[in-house]
Amino acid sequence: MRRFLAMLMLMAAAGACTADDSELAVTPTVERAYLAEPIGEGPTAMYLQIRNETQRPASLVAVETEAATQVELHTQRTTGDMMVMEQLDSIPIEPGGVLQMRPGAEHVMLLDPLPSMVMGDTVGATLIFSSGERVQAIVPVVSYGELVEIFEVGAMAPRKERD
Amino acid sequence: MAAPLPIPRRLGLLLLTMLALTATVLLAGCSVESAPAEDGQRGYRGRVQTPPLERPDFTMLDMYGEPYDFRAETEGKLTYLFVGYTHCPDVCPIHMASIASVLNQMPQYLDHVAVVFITADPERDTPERMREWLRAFSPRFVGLRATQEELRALESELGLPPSAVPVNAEGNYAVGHAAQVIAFSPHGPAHVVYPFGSRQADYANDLPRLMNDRWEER
Repeated sequence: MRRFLAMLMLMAAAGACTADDSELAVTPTVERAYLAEPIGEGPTAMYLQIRNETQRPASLVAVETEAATQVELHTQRTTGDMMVMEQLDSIPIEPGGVLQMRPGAEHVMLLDPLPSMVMGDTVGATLIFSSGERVQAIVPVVSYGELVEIFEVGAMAPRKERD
Repeated sequence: MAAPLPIPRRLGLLLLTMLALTATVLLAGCSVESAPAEDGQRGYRGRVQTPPLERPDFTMLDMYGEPYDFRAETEGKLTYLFVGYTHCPDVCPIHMASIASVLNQMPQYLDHVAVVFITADPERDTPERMREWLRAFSPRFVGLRATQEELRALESELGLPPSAVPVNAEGNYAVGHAAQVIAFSPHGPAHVVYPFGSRQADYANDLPRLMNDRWEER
């Protein structure tokens, strides 16, 4: 785990350097990705961190993956102490912006994931933007326990929402 | 009385103090754990509930189809209660995984803790499905199902928003449910709740306290 984190930090550092580069990316890029290991035949969530270093606004409209046939973009809407999932048609990313999906917020919902996927597997995913651009990503499958750790200690740590 | 320090040493001390202060500020800024609000929080990182929530008295069917008398079964145990559903992709499994992981790190408390999950989606959450889902976190977690009336009554007693199962045009449905885990003290009401976003470190900080806190001075 420690080595994994060190690697993440290196990747983050590398990401920071590219961001300073004067060359602009052609398409948004996926910096990190995780897929929660499904429990039985239940649905599961994929979390992507997408950076838009292009000069145009980007809008994620769909994700395709061999790991499921029904895939939707979702967010969690919180009203007081109540949480409910809500389907999104698209998720915008400003030029220079980063979309950081995380538990309790935006995620890619896999309604019928392959139940055979286990922690340690990797799956492919294709992100589809409103411009028609398609971006490939390799997504590791992690357990919910790992996911908790990643989002607590990693750079993707969620903002603590206090009410 | 100490003799006044020579100027260079005083400068050195001043520099050291400044360094220490800067380091403190930097560390505070980088700290992953948000500073707990000390006001009325008594050192807890979960949200202290005032007034506390009475331990409810109810019986529901468990994930083996047997009646589960909540008060009798959880008496003397620190009890985490959560209303959720197993087709929930992140909030529910994240809470369950956090609590399971903290309990694994504190095995001395295992026999003194109960984790009770009540489904807000009894239609899809059959006893088999609940067993499968809860076992992914811990074989000790208990799953309960209730009729809608029973669930409403409990939610209202606990001040939770009523869970809802709205169906959209495609026949898919998203379940709305309370996002917090309620922690009942071993012999009493619930003084602390954990909203979504609570971290393992928050549960771990509070667990030994909750075990021993008599809440006398409240």
